Amino acid sequence: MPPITPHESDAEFITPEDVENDVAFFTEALLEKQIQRLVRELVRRSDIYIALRKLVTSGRFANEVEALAQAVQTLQSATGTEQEA
Amino acid sequence: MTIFSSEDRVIVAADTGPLLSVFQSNTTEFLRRYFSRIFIVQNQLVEFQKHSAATEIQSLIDEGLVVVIKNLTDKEKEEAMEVARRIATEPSCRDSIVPNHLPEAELIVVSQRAEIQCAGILLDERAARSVAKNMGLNIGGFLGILGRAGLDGLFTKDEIRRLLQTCQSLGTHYKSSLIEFVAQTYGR
Repeated sequence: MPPITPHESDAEFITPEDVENDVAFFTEALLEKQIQRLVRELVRRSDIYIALRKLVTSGRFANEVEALAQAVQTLQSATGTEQEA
Repeated sequence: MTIFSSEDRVIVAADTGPLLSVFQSNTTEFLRRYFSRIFIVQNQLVEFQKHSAATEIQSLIDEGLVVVIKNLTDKEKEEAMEVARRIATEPSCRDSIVPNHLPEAELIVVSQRAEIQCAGILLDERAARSVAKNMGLNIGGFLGILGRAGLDGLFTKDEIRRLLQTCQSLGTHYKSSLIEFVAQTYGR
């Protein structure tokens, strides 16, 4: 079987900056998918969804996203995991 | 380190070049890891055949990972011709024959169809990348896939070096300094 030959005659002009941009794109796209899945799974739990709605209707938070963000930050602070990444 | 699960895979359109590099380096498993669907256009099938990769692309089509878009609307064909013209006149383009750029131009056009929900387009050709970037599209390439896999801890520096040197030995003109950059930056 003949070897697979390359398509790009100008691949030598790909720069480190191109590679960094490409990796950033993949990272962002995958992360967006991951976040969409997490949010989908979270709001599928009726107990969580009802709690979120109650927090918003209490007037303490502008919307569900604000309530969730505050909840995560509070949990992070309580468990001392701010410095871990 | 972020490990993405198979549920977090994205949909992309892919030009011939990045897929040929994947085949050369025998890294198709990473396509399955990061992409739930990869769109190509009919005109690319001839290119895969020309580069001795007809069996490899057919295998991905058969398993459903790669989907061939066969019919472009008249409007898309017109747009593709215009995109091909722009690619052919890019300063970095070495081939000024407009029809030679139709496969990637068609791919750029169909990747914008709302219903296929492409997160971006895999392109390694500089002139096409430049045109796609100016159109506001997200672009990735073969080295970007390797880099992401490296960040996920899937490759050592040596493994990245070996994979890219394999492509280099098969005729892909990666500079040795670029191979070293990718290995050092993304290998574990």
